[in-house]
Amino acid sequence: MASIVLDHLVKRYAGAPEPAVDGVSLAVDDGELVILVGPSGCGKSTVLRMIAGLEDITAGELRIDGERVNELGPRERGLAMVFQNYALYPHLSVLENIAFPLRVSGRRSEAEIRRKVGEVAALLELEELLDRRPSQLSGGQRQRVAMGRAIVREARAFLLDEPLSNLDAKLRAQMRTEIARLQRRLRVTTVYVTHDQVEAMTLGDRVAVLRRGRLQQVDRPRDLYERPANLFVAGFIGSPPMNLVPATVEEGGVVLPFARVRLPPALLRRAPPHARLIAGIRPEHLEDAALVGGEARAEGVVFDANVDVTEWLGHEQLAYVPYDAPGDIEAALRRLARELAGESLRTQLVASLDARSAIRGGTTAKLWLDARRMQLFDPDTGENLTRDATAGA
Amino acid sequence: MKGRGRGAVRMLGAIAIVAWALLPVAWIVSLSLKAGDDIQNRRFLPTVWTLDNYRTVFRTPLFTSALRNSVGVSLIATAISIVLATFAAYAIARLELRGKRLVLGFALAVATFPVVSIVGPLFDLWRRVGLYDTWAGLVLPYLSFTLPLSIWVLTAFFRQLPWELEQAAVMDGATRWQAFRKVMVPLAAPGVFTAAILTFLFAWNDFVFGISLTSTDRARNVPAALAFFTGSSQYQHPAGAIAAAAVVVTVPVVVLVVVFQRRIVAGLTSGAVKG
Repeated sequence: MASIVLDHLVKRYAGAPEPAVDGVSLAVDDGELVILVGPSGCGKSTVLRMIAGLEDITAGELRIDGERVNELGPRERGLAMVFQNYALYPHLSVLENIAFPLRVSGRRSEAEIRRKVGEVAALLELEELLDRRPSQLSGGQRQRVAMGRAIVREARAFLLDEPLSNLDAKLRAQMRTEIARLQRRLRVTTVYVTHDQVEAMTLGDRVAVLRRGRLQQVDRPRDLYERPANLFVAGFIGSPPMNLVPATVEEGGVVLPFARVRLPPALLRRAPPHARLIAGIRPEHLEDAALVGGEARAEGVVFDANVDVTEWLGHEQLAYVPYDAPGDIEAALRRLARELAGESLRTQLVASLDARSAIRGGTTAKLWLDARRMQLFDPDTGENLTRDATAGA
Repeated sequence: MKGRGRGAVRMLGAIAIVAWALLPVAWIVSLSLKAGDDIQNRRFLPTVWTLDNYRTVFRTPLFTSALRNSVGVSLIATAISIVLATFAAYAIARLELRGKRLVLGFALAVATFPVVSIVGPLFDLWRRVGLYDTWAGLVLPYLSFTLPLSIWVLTAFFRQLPWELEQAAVMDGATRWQAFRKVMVPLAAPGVFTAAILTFLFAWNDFVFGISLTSTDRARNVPAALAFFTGSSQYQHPAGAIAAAAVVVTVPVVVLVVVFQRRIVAGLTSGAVKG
């Protein structure tokens, strides 16, 4: 068990103009599960490999339990890692794969090794597979063997590099819960890399969002979702993603392409008058006006929307409302969409409506927007101008 | 039904090809089992089955010394070639190295060099430096032809090895040596065996160097010695003895291939990584 501190870590590859990792600072407490998340190429795997000792650290300091480990090799750092492709040894049985870390460390009796492997196999329900070769296992079983190999060492911390990305969707959800349960039970400090924001939100004690080698925000999942530090985090976290809509500030509120919204003064404190900003609205903060009760209705605004398409999902209903955005803001939004690897170039509003709603595609409907939950972003810096105001809420 | 018909045709084709390829071998085996003048019996099988030719062959010093030379020279050439080629291929496949392509290109150029064209100059050179009619005098030219081949085979093999397993082993607490010894070597073994067999076969089957660079029992190898063969007496046709000797030198090759075939083919790397 250990704490891991990243202190302004920098990774610069020879010949690359930009550093791959640019001054990342993060403290992972003992027993905590921290997720590194971001789109591909954001440097999250590089950070993990720097912690592991598989990549040199160009600048900055890495401390495990307060002790500088920059110069130590992976072996001396005593961390266990699960690789994205599991990296099982194909010539060894499952038993020997799990026993490998014990065998190479020497000074353990055969009986002790057998006992430890047995314990881990029981924990991961691998007992019947111990004699098999990795090539005879399914993806989920290989994943469990890889976990077993990490657990058996009783390492100071786990490093998981996209451990679930090679599994199909159903199995991934299962293993996600399994990993969460395991981590809670063993209480081992864990750094977990993923590009999947659902994994990040469900698993992490805290989540660190990376973009182009820089840390954007480190927070508990809930704070990340409700108070994103900037446009990038807002767009990245949440599915379907937050609606980012051009907004012009005016007296007591903002003007959106489809509605004029009165905002509480606290939200507008940092918004310069008449500025053109980007408003962030979560899909679930839009609702079928017919289903919103009186008191809540007064806190928001009701507007007419041309609902293009609806998707009924059983527990909710998604409604898509196209709108026209002014050119300059639209360019900024497109840039962001590209960076988030989003395909949606159409400017549209996504509303998550109650499943009971009678709104159907191809009609004009009355939607209600919860003004209290709206966020405002500076389109140039991306900074969230409402974050301080909502901090106490 | 259709599938079975096609399978039968394929089977027949395979049998025809195998028979075509094995006929000369069967003939030599049959010849080696015919005694004395039975060779002229104008039939495929011996009239009387006998192992006389084999006894003769193993009693002839020409053959026994040649066998010793062949085994010794081939094993030494294979050992040196594999050790050097493994290091070279590891460096080419794994390390950031300037001039990798040059080494590979050069190796290929050497490998395509016609053997016959260097035999004459080597003959002169070896006589002057005292390598003529020695084991070393054969091992050196063998190396120059088997090294490029082994380097190519091993480089191709090493390139497709899952090297991230080395990192996995290091993360599991292994030293670099342990990672190499316990993970990479077992995975690389099939490739190394393949290269070793190819090298051994080249040295074992060589005739041109053997006949040109040797003159006595000191270094002459079996293929060359066969050319000097006479029967148990000089009045006897030596075909039976030559056939027996040929069978004796073919057996190790067949055994080698049959024994290691499974190691070579074994899909040892499957299942290491996904897909």
